[in-house]
Amino acid sequence: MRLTDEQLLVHTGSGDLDAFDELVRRHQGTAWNIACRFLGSPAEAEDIVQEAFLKILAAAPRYRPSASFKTYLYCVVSRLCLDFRRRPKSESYEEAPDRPDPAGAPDDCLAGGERQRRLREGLDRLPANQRLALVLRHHEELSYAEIASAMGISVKAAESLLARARRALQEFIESTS
Amino acid sequence: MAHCPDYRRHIEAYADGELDPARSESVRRHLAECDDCRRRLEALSSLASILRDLPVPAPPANLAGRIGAQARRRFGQPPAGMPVDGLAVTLRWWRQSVWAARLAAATLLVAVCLAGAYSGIRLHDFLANTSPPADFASGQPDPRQIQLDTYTNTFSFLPQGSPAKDYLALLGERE
Repeated sequence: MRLTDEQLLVHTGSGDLDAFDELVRRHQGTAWNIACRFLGSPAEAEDIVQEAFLKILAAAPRYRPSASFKTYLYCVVSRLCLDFRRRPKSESYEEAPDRPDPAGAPDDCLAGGERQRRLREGLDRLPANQRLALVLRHHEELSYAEIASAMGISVKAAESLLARARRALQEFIESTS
Repeated sequence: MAHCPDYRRHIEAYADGELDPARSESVRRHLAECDDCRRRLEALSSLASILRDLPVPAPPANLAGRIGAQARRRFGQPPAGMPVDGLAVTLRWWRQSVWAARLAAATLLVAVCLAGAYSGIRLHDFLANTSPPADFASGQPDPRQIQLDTYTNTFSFLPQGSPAKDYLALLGERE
């Protein structure tokens, strides 16, 4: 019988690392997509995904299956993404958007297209919390309440973040087209 | 009819499917009549569409394996076949249990301890207050030895070195 995510996490909390492996296999894509879209850098996204799952493993013995695992995962990845952007910056995609890449940017989250390049640039210019709200809404299709829960803010604040993010992004795209 | 500003602030929530059915229907009727608000909705839909289409590379093929390896390095795991430390399992169970299960376990533990202490006191009193048969040659069994044997048999499942076994051995030596 296929165990639910929540059951797997309870097993993980009892020291079953095979259960943990299964959780990682099931949800690495979700964590990766959020981190990569938010950060714009696969290398940084990989660090965030690893850190997120190891945090989940460390906290597993205290896990109570009161919320879905996916909600928990969104919360952990979101906080790590925001914390990552608050750290003193080393060189990053955000700081060097025009960095030439002799290999034709094989690692970039962007894959061609002027409109997508502008969109990526516009996203990178947004404040981190606005960008994260957009990623959670448009890529993970979370409701306002789920975004609020993942980011640890009120539903009203989530709605307001989204509105400001969309306005700023549209203005940026229009100004550069 | 309400003016555009009354609706405009709801258009995003409408596009996101966050309005209740009545308000959603009201906005939908307004959109059918208002070009400005309809253009605003179309702009939002277009933005949503290009955001959704923003490509993302697939995660590295060995990402899950690397996370699993790091987990094992950082948190370790007893080798296959090795029994997990009983105290660690008990502590983990305690941390993960709901308060009702903890209360039940604590009550059971106290009850077992009290029952053990009570039995020990009874046995001690019995041995202290009962005289051996006056005439050993009569072949009458010693009631104190019978009682002691009963307790020893009752606790035969206990491992050597447990406090209960030691206590019974001590009483036996005294007799």
